[in-house]
Parts: sequence; structure tokens; C-alpha cells
Amino acid sequence: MKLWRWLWLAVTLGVLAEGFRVALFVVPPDAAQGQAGRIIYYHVPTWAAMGLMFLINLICSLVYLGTRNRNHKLAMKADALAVSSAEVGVIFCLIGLVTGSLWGRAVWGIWWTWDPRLTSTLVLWLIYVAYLLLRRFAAGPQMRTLAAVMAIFGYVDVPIVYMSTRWWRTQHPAPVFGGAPGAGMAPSMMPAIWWNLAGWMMWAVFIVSLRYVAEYREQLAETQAGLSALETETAAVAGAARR
Amino acid sequence: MDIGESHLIMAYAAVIGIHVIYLTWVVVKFRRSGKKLKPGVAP
Repeated sequence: MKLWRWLWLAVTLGVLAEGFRVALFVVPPDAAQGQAGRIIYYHVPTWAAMGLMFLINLICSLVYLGTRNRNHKLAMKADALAVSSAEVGVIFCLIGLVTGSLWGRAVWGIWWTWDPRLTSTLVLWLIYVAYLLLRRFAAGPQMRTLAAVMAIFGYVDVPIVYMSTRWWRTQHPAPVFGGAPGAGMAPSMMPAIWWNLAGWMMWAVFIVSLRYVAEYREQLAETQAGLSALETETAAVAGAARR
Repeated sequence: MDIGESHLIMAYAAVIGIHVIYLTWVVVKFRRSGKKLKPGVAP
């Protein structure tokens, strides 16, 4: 692992540790929700990191479709980043669903309800799981193109998830950011959000960088294997022609 | 321990647990992918 990645990891762990300290020991407990209210300091940053990952996936899918016939190297890099960011996004989405469910059980008394925010988020998770399954099990040269097209259509659900609490009456609480005047969190609670937001965003970048390198190396290894097989076959055909 | 506290602990366990499992998988994939490449080729 390169030096910059170790440094990035060290700073990330420091920021996450500070986020943990502030969330647990500095900000006061929520007046209505008690200790369960602290789950939001992980729940909200998780969604932000997921949104960033799916946005990267969208951009990389567009780049792949735009360059696949003109700049093969760039297209393959974009494709490797697309699959890496989708995978990390799915992990963050899963954590968001789990932490939300735990919060719901403590505050609402139920694990799950078919509320527009929750349902659209579950659909989003399923879309990107389907994207990853397509990449894992579909074979042939069109797999990457199909996956990129699917990613573009799949991203349509991201703004629906974001706007669901604004468009419909939901059981889910009002937006923390960009909601109605007076909505959102008390200023005394915001430091826990900011530290965790920074920490989990940095963690997402770290993990996606590792996953990207692994994916790109596998693509290169596949290309090498293909070229070796072609060279062997060409040599065999040339040998047969000489005889 | 009130009900909120136990759920907060479960949330911490879920966040850390899922990230540790995924990180382990990514690191294994990262290390294996390096061995698959021929020498001299590195992204």
C-alpha cells in the first residue's frame, strides 16, 4: 500500500475517533429520544457517503459509455471505479438501513414500516445489488455496457430517496439539511454530525481507492491472460502453417 | 440500561461489524489482485 494511503488512513481514523468522542461524550442526549438519538450521528453521514459513491458510479458509467470505443484505457479505469463505488455505496446503504431500523425500533417501537423514504431506499439498495450481481454473473463483452446503462437508470432513485420526505407525508423525520425553516437539528448537536460526516466520507474514499486498485489489477490480469492465449494460438497456427 | 442505550450499542456493533467484514474482504482482494499481475505491470 502506498504511503499516501497510509497517511490518509491515519487521518481518517483520527477524524472518526474524534467523531466517536463528540457523538458519545460531548453532545447532549436528545430530549425526546434519549441515547437512541445518537444513532443519527452515524445514520446521516452514512447516507451522505452512499450518495457520493452512487454519484461517482453514475459519472464513471457515463464516462465508460462515452469512451469505450475511443479510449479503451480510460474506459476500463472508469469501469473499475464504477464497480468499486457501487460496491462501497451498497455497504453504506446497508448500514443506513440497519441503523435506521434500530433507531425505528427504539423510537417508533417498530423495526420497519412501508414509508416512502424507507421503501425507496430499500429499492435503491436492491437496484445496486442487482447491478453488482449483473457484473458478477453476466459474461461477454456487453456486460460492462449493460451495467453502465443500468447504473444510469438506477441513479434515478437517488433523488427520489432524497426528496421523498419533502414530496410525501412520511413517518420518517423531516430533513436534517435543507428542510423547512425551524426543522433539523439543534446547533449543539451539529459538531457530532460534521465530524462523522468528514470521517465517513474519508473512509469511503479510502476503501473505494483500495477496491479500485484491486478491480483495475484484475482487469489488467484478464487482459494479460487474453493476450497470452492469443500469442500461444498465433504461434501454434504459424507452426502448423510452416509444417 | 434503557432501551435507547441498547439500540445505540447495537447500532455501533452493526456499523463497526459491517465495515470490518467488508474491509477484510477488500484487503484480501487487494493482496490477491497484486499476485495475479505479471511483474512490471502495476496501475
